[in-house]
Amino acid sequence: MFQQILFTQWKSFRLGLIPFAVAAFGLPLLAVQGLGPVPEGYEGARVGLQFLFDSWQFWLPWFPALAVTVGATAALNAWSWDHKTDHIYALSLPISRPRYAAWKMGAGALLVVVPALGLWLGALAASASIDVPASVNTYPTALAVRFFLASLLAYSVFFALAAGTIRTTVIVLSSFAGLIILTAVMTDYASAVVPGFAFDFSGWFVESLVEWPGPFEVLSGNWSLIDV
Amino acid sequence: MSNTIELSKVTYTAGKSFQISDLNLHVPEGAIYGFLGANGSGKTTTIRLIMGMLRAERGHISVLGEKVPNDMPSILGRTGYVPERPHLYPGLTVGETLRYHASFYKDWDSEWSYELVEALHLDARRTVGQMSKGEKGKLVILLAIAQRPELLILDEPTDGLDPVVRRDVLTAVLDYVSHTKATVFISSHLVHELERFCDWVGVVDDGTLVAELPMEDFKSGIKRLRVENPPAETDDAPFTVLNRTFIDRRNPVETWVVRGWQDAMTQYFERTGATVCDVMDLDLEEGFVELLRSSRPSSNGYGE
Repeated sequence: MFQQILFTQWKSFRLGLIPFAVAAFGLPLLAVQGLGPVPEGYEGARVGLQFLFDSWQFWLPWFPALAVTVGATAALNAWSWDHKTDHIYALSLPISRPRYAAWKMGAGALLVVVPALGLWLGALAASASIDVPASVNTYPTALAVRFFLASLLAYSVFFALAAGTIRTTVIVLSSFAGLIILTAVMTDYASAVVPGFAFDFSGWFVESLVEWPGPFEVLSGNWSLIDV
Repeated sequence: MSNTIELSKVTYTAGKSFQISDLNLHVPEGAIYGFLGANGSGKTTTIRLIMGMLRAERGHISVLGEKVPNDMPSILGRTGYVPERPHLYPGLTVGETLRYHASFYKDWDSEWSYELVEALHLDARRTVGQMSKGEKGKLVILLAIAQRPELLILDEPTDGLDPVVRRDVLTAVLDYVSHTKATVFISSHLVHELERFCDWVGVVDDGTLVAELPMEDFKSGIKRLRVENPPAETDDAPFTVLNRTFIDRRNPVETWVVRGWQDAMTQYFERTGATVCDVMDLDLEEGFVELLRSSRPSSNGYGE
């Protein structure tokens, strides 16, 4: 049963999966070589390394962005055929709804491994293509694992959202947007009313989500291939 | 005889304007039960309640001796379902659809499913999205019967199909039922289609069950009478008057459509000073129309 669910998701997503895997493979290579050869003034191992870090910083936002895109697309794909058929087929199958959703989620999660594998291979190739000083290491596996976890996180969130009706999705997303707006308004109001008030509610709200131990920390954490 | 499907005082509200209220339904084991109703009368909603896709607000539903919705996976494993519109995954081929579907059913008959593919002239390599409506209709019937179900629930299975495909689909169902003791619950607004093979009939209108009886009783019990000097009141009549129509206002002759008629009931008219001039049979479609007409609030019972 699971094998067949995996097959249907593979079949509906395979054309989208290949470009993602290629992009994930190419991104680390671009990040280490994307700014071209080391320019004049960067000669020497130390400054060469600095150039490498600069190049990586330039490409860094693309890693979580690609991971979120992969996860979101996989999640939307997981339910797309069921949405097209108003879930009638799924509901007529002799399987409990939680079990069906769990297996569907598991199948999609397995597919998310493919771009992560692509990124791992790309990161290995990128590591092999650069010379780094002995005090510095490359972490292709850690980068690939982070990419996989970020994809999985995005996949889980969007899978849950896509499982519901459009109305439910709108309610959840608007509640989230409403919270951000509310905290921004609270910050403005408090600083206008209370002299010397400096606490940023909206900054605190976003940070509590994306910084440890926030649920989205994996997106904002250390995405470096090269580290000490 | 036990009932394969039993609905007891089921109530469900869909939106602001439609409600199924206190619906009681009994589908005997082994019956081919025709569920008749006009478009929008609640047939599909009732079927979705039976299939556990919708949750009743009140009342009890049992299918194959198990409770809905608590025992749904077990019930669905013994039930073949053909929805109003084909619902299959568009990107899968016929062969892939069979394998996907088969993985959920323990009694799936793989060999027979491929025989049916041949018999119904389907191409196993073709994707569902490329298939015509008729081919999809045949495929969903195939999926429903190749799992060897004890109960078949068919929601307007032939609606919109051409006569050849319609015959193929019904033949496949009847072949299956003739070799098994499966119960069939089939909804339709095409009355003549059900007349040929259903042995029970239920008529639903505006979410309410108007009638439920054996097909023979339905066909033989509804008559059109021509009555001279008819009585004004029919409260004590041994039959149900569905409709009364003046033939000519100047003459005391009316046409009555009655339900539950038996020949001996002419005595009722003799007692009231009336005379029955003619007793005519109604076919199922006419009976169905008269039943619906009599059940609607706008009807005054006099056909005017």
